[in-house]
Amino acid sequence: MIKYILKRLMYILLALFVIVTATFFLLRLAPGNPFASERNFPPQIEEKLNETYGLNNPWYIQYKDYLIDAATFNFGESMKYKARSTNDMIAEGFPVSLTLGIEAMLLAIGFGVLIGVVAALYHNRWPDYLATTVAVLGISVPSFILAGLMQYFLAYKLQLFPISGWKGFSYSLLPALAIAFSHMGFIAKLTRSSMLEQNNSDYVKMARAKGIGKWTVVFRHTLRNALLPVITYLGPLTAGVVTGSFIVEQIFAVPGLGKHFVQSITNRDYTVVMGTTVFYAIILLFAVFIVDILYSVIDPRIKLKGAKK
Amino acid sequence: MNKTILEVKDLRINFKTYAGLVHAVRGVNFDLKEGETLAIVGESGSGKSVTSNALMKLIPQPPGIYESGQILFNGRDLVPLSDKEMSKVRGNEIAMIFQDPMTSLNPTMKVGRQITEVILQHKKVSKADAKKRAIELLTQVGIPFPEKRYNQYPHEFSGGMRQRVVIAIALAADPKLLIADEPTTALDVTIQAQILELMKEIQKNSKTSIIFITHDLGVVANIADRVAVMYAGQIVEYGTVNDIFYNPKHPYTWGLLGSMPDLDNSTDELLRTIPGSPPDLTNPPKGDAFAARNEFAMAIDYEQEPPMFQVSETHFAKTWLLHPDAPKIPLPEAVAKRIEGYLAKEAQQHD
Amino acid sequence: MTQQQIEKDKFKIVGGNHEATDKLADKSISFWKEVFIRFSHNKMAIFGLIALIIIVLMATFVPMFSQYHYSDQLGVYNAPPSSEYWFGTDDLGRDIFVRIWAGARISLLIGITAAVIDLIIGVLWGSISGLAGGRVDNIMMRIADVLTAVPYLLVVIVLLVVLKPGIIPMIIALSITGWINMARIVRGEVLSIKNQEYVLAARTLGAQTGHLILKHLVPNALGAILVTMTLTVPHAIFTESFLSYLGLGVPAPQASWGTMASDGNGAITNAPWRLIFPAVFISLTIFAFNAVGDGLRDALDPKLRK
Repeated sequence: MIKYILKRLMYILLALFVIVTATFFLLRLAPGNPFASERNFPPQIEEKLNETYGLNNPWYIQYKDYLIDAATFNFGESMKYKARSTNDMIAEGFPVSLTLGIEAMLLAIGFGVLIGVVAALYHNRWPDYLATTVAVLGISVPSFILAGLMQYFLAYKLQLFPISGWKGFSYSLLPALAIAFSHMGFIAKLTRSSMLEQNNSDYVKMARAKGIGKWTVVFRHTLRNALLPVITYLGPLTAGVVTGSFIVEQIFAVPGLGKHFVQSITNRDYTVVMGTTVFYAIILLFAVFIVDILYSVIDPRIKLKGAKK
Repeated sequence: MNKTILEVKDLRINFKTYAGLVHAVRGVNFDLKEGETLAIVGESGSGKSVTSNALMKLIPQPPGIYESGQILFNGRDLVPLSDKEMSKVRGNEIAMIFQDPMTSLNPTMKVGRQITEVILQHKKVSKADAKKRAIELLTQVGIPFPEKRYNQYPHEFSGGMRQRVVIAIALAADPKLLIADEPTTALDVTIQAQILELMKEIQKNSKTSIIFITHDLGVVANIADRVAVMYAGQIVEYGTVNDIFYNPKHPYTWGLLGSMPDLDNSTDELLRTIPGSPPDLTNPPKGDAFAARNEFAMAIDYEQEPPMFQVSETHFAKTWLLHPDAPKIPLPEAVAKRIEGYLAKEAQQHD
Repeated sequence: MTQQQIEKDKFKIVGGNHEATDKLADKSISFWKEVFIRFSHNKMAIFGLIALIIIVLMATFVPMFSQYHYSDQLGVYNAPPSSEYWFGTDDLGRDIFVRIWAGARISLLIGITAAVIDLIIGVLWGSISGLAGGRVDNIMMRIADVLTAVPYLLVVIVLLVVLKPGIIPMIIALSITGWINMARIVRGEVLSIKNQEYVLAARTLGAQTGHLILKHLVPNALGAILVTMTLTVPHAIFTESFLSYLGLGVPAPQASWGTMASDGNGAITNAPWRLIFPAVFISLTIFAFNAVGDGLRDALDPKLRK
C-alpha cells in the first residue's frame, strides 16, 4: 500500500511540474502585457514595475524564480489589483466555491444514484423511460447553458429562486443544480446499467434462491456491487464540478474562486492565473488520488501493490 | 416405501423473445422420492436448466411464462404461489446450487455472512447461534480452518472450495430438496470427484433428495438413482440408472451413450457424434423433435409426437420405436461396447 | 386411452434429415450487416442519426440559399421569432436562423476536425506503442499516463489565451489531449491482435509495420475506433461552447453555436431566443452524437444486451 501511495505521489508531482512549466511558458509567450491595458505609465514607473515583477530577467531566471515561488506557494500579488495577494484571493473565493461544489456533488450523487436505481428496478416500464430521458437530457445540455436557461425560466420568469448573488442558502440552489445536472445524468445512466448488469449475475439469483425478498436483495447485495463503478467516477466528477463552477459562478454572480479565475484570464493577470491554476491542479490531482484509495478500501478484491491496472 | 416429495405434472414454460415465443419446456413429467437422486441429462438447449430453475419459480416473468402444469412439492402446487410465498420455500425447503462458483457468491460480502443470511432468514435463532451453525457447516463440507474462513471473501477461496461454500449455503436451512445445476462442470476433474463424494455423503446423512442436472453421463452413473433424459424441452427417456445404462430404448439416449469418450480403448475408432443441431424451439417440429437427427426415424416420426411408452415398472421412453408395429431395432453394437467398456472401468475404479 | 389406428407403413425406417437442421445454424450474414441490423433496432440511435443528417444538410444548404448572409445587419434589432425572421434577430440586427446554420458549419467543423486529429495521432501512437512492445511501449504509455493526470482544461484555457482565439487555435486546443483515449483503445486492440497467427504469418512474409497497420490492425480495430470518434465529437462541441463562454471562442463576425449562446446569455432578459436556439441545437447535437456512438457500441458488442 505504501509503495502504491509513494508511486502515485510521484506521478502527481510530475504532473504538477508539467502543468506549472506549461503554464509558465505559455503565459510568457502570450501577447499582451498585464500592464498594457492600464493607463499609460511614465517610462520610469513601467521600468520599476517590470523590475519588481522580474519581467526584465532572462527567461530561465524567471523560470527558476517561478518554480521556487510555486513550491513555496508564494504566488505574489495580483498584477491587476495591486495590494491584493493571490493567496488572499484564493482564500476568499475558495470557501464559497467549496460550498457550491459540495452541494453540487451531493445533488449529483444523491439524485443520480436514486434515479439510476429506480430506472433499473422498473426496467422497461415507465419509470425507466422517464429516468432515462431525464438522464439523457442532463448529459446533453452543458451546465453553463442550463444555468442561463434556469436563470431565465425559474428565477426571472417564475420567480421561484433568486436570480443571482450569494446571500443565503437559497442563492446556492440554482447554481448547484446547474453544475450538478449533467453529472447527475451520467451517474444515473451509470448506476442504471451497473444495476442491470448486477441484477443478471449469478450471485443475485443465488440470493433469491435463498429465499431473500426482492428488495432486501437489492439493498443488501446488488447495490453495493453496482455502486463500485460510480465511485470511480468521483474523480472526473470533482474535475467537472470545478470546471463547471467557472462559468456558472459568473452567470449567478457567485463570488467564488471560479469567477476570479475567469476574470484573471480575461485580464491577463499572470500571477493570479498561475496561482489559481496550480491550486486547482493540486486539488484535482489529489481528488483522483483519494478516490483510488477509497475504491481499493471498498472493493475487497483490489489489492494495491506497486503496480495498478 | 419412500414418500414422494416432488411431482411435476405436464409442465410447460415459454419465453417471449425478440425472435418469437420460445417453447423451452414442452410437457415435462417426473417425480422424486425422499432420499433419492434424480439426474436430468441433456445437451445445451434441452430445457434442463429451465426446468430446474422453474421448480423454484426462479424464472423471471417476463420474459418467462408458466404456461401450464403443476409442481407439487409435498402435495402443494408451487405454480400459483406469489413471490412472497415462494420466498418461504426457497432456501428453506428447496435449495439450489449453481454451476459457476466464481460468480455465485457475492464478491464484496464475507463468506460467513452469506451462510448465516440463509439461517437468519428462515429460522428464529440468534446471530451467535447462526454463526456457530455456519462454522459447523463449513466443517461439514470439508473446509479447513472454518473460523478463519468465516471472515474471508470469496476471492480468497479456490474454485473447489468455493463450490463447497455454495453447498454449505444450500444446506444451511436443512432443505428437503437440493437442486444442483451442473455443479461440477466448471471444476477440474479431480475436484469434481471430491464434490460428488461430498454430496453423496450429505445425502446419506440427512436423507435430502437431490435433483442433479448434468450433461456428463459419467457423473450420472456415479451419483444417480434415477435418470431423466431431456431433449428439445421434453423428457424422452426416464428410468433407473440400470434401466438407462443396460437397456436404453430411445435413439437419442443411444447417441448420448455412444458419444462418451473412451480414452483407453481403440484409438482408431471414430468418436460417434449425433449429426445436426437441436431444433429451433420458437417453431417446435411437428412430430418427434429428434426425428431429423435420428438414423432410425420413421415416417410417423415426422408427423406425430410419440407418447410415453412403458418399458417396465420404472422405465419409460418416448419413441415410436416402442410401438408394437415398429421394427425391432436392437441396441447398436458400438453403443453397447461403449457402455460395457465404461462400466468395466467404473467397476475397476471402485475395487 | 384410445389407441388410434396408424397405418403400418408409417413405421418404415426413413432415416434422419440433419442437413436441414444444419442449415439453420448456417445462416451467416456479414459482420457489418449484422451490426447494422442491431443498430437499426435502437430507437434512440436512429433518432440521433436522423437528427444529425438533418443538421448536416441544413448546415450545408441553408447558408448557401438563404436570402440573408449571416453577417448582414438588417436594421431590426432583437426581434422575437416571426414569420419574417424565423429565429428572430440579434442586437446587431442579424438573422439568427441563418447564423444558426452558419454557426453549425463552424461548430461541426471544429468538432469533427478535432476528432479526426485525435484519430490520426491516437492511432499512430497506439499502434506504434502496441506493435513495438517492451520498453518503447512502456515509455509511451507512461507519457500518456502523466498527460492524462494533467487537468487538460486548465492547459487548454491557458493555451487559448496565448494563441489568439480563432478556428485553428480552437481545433488545436481541443485535440491536445483527446488523442490519449484513442491511443489507449487502439493499443488495446493492437495487443490483442498482435500475437494472432495471421499477423505473425504476414510478418514472416516480410510485411512492413506500416503495411501491417493499414491492412490488418485498423480493420479489426475499426469498430472501437469508430465508436471513440463518434463520442469525441460531442465532447469537442461541449468544450468549444465552454471556451466561448470564457471569451475564447471564434472572433466576430463569424459565429459558432458556442459564441452565439454566450452572447445570448448576456441578453437573456430582453431577447431570450438568442440563447434558446443555440442552446437547443448544441444540446440536440451532443445528444445525437452520443446516441449514435452508444448505439454503435451496443451494436458492435457481441454480448447482446437484451
